[in-house]
Amino acid sequence: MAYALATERLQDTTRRGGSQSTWTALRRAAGRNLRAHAFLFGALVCFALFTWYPMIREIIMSFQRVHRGQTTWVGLGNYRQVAADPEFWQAWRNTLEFSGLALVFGFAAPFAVAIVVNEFRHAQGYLRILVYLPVMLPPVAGILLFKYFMDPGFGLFNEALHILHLPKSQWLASKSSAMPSLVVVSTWGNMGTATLVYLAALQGIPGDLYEAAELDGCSVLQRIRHVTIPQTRLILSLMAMLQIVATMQMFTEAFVLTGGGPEGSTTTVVYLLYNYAFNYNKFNTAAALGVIMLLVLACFSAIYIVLERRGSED
Amino acid sequence: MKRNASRTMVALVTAAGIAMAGAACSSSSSKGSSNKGSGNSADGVADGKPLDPNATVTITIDGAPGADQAANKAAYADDLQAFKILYPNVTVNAKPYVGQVEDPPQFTASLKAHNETGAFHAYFTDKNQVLDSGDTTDISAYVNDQTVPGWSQLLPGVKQNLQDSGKTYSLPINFYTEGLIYNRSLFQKAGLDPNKPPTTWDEVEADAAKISALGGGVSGYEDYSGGNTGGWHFAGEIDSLGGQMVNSDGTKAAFNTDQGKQVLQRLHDMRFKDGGIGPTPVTQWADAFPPLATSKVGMFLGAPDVIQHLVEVLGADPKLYGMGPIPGSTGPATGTLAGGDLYYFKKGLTPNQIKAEIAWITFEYLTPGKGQFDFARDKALAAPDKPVAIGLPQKFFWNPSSAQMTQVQSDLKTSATLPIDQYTDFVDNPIAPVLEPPAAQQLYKVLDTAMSAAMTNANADPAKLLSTAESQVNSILANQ
Repeated sequence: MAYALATERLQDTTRRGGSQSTWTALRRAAGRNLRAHAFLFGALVCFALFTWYPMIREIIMSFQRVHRGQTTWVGLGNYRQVAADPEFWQAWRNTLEFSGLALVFGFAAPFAVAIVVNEFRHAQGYLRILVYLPVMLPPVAGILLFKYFMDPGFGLFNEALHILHLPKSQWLASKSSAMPSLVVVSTWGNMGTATLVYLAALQGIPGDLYEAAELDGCSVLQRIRHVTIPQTRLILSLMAMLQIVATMQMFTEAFVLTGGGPEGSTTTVVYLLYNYAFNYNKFNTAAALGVIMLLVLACFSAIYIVLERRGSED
Repeated sequence: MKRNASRTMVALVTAAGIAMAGAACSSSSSKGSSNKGSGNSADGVADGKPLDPNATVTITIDGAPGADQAANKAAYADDLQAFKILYPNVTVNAKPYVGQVEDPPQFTASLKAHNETGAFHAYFTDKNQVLDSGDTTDISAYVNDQTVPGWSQLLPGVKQNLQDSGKTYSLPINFYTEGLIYNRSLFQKAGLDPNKPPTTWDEVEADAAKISALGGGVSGYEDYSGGNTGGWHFAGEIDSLGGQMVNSDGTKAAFNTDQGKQVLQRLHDMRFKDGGIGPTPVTQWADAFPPLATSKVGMFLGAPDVIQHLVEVLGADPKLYGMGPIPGSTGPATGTLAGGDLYYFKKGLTPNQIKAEIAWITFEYLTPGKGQFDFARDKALAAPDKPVAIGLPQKFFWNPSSAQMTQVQSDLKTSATLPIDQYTDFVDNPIAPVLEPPAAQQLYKVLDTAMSAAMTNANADPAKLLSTAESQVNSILANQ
């Protein structure tokens, strides 16, 4: 409200053409909410220092190279080097594969679980805790757990397959099964948060809509299709976008479980970026890759916004 | 419309923030650095003389043993006290480490943040990135036989790693070559002679198959396939067959040869034909050790410090391990990969601080009978329930005929806690050291893929894998 008043007064004074009056109005507006502005200033400083400055530095670094302590400008040299690296394209293929699989499983599974949990009215509290437990485990500890489960020699999963008279899997040791295995680990680790978000959205749906649907003779699936999904459309599309952004930056699972292998089949773009920066000591090339990643994610964000706008117009 | 525009901006900013966080944690390498030690009354001059014992100096250094190395920690503290008697006015602030003395990513981050101690630990392979950081000092004017006794006796291969364009930047503290570490108990159980480790790769393959046949999750041989360690071991194995990673001037890949194919084909056969290698891939440095410590692996290629890690950190029984020379194609290997550790000196130190750092490093790491070579003291300080590995078959860094080496070898005989007679084959069959290739970590990463394929993909084609790796490595070397 104070901002609206200040803006109105600013517009008035600007119309009157007095720069001094503008300054005075600004000072008055700031003075009226001094404490709020102080808090805001602190947050802005932190944001500038820890978010914007590194981002700007990264963009600058992506056009530079360092040799024997001397920094030189190389134009698009780092970008050309990144694009010429065969690992670059493989990393994108791997990343898209992971994102695609994670979107199918990591997106659908929590929603399905949320619907189920929502139906259990009495034991819901316990179920929420159960679902959220994996999130409370430190990520690396959770991931390491799967390292033992998925060991091709004596892992729990292969023992289970053996008991069921099913053929053993190589899990993380085979090029074809390594990425799906990482998707399983990632989905397990992140499902709790997504489920709770969906659950909150589900609980916001007015009960009379379901009652009306039931009176119209809708089955469970029809109620989900005609009531649940349309009512949670906004949260679903937001979660889908966040899921894409998060899964495209998958790193920890591959770093801990596969080291990017076998045969580079789990080297994602962020893993490659890490390698450039910390294993090859090529921070400038890593910066170029980071900027490319930014542009790609920005495209996804733009697509999301366009789709969402179309959806709301419909 | 306005609302949509602001939403667009918020979404773009969110994506940007998340995407860039990973790579944007560095500051410019071109900036100068400040040292944390402080030169006090006199800064001194670079006159090639040792530090005046009365000069008041404070220095900082990393690589001190941490909480996980009780015995080494006690010995280090003892050394600091002994050094204080020699140089009462020098204060040494030593920063401890836990686990691995240097974690490469952490080391790189530290360099980028100009956050090194006055003298800082590095591996031989770190040379380019340390020099590129601009954070290191030329110490040529400070090192000679008077300031560093035995300086002229350092092996040429070691000295090469300390220098660049004729200038000296570092002092060595360790030098090693790779050999074959094997489990004597598993050898015995498999009906093999524990006093005769295999000397050719054919023998390794045959022995590994016999050990794997013991069952119970035992693997005859294990090798790396990720985290740059796969390529590192590929380099060691091709060196052992007389091949090489790069050509003589370091401009082209030289591993796409019969020797390179032999390395991959053998690993593939061991994994998929005779079962000498088990199904669990080893993708990280540390993953190799627990199965070695628990007698689940028969043979492993490594430097002597592998035994130290198994005994001191993982509590394995030292009697279990023997060490032989790295195997060759039809007889002893023609070369073995060498490496080592050293200390660089941070830019901005005063002459007296450089002299004091040199004095401490020389005392702690380069004087037979003192510091890391005071085997009798290490033995006396060792706790009864915490084993200390004294007597490792290290090659050290001096000429074998030097006075330094004569004393070290003599001291080892009287104070060793390890069964040094189990390493006789390694010690008595010295193999020419081969230094690591340029852009080593990048090359190793590329060869990780080939090693990984050989041991995880039943349909792997070594020739194709090496051709792909060759073109990638040529591109890396062209962009150096």
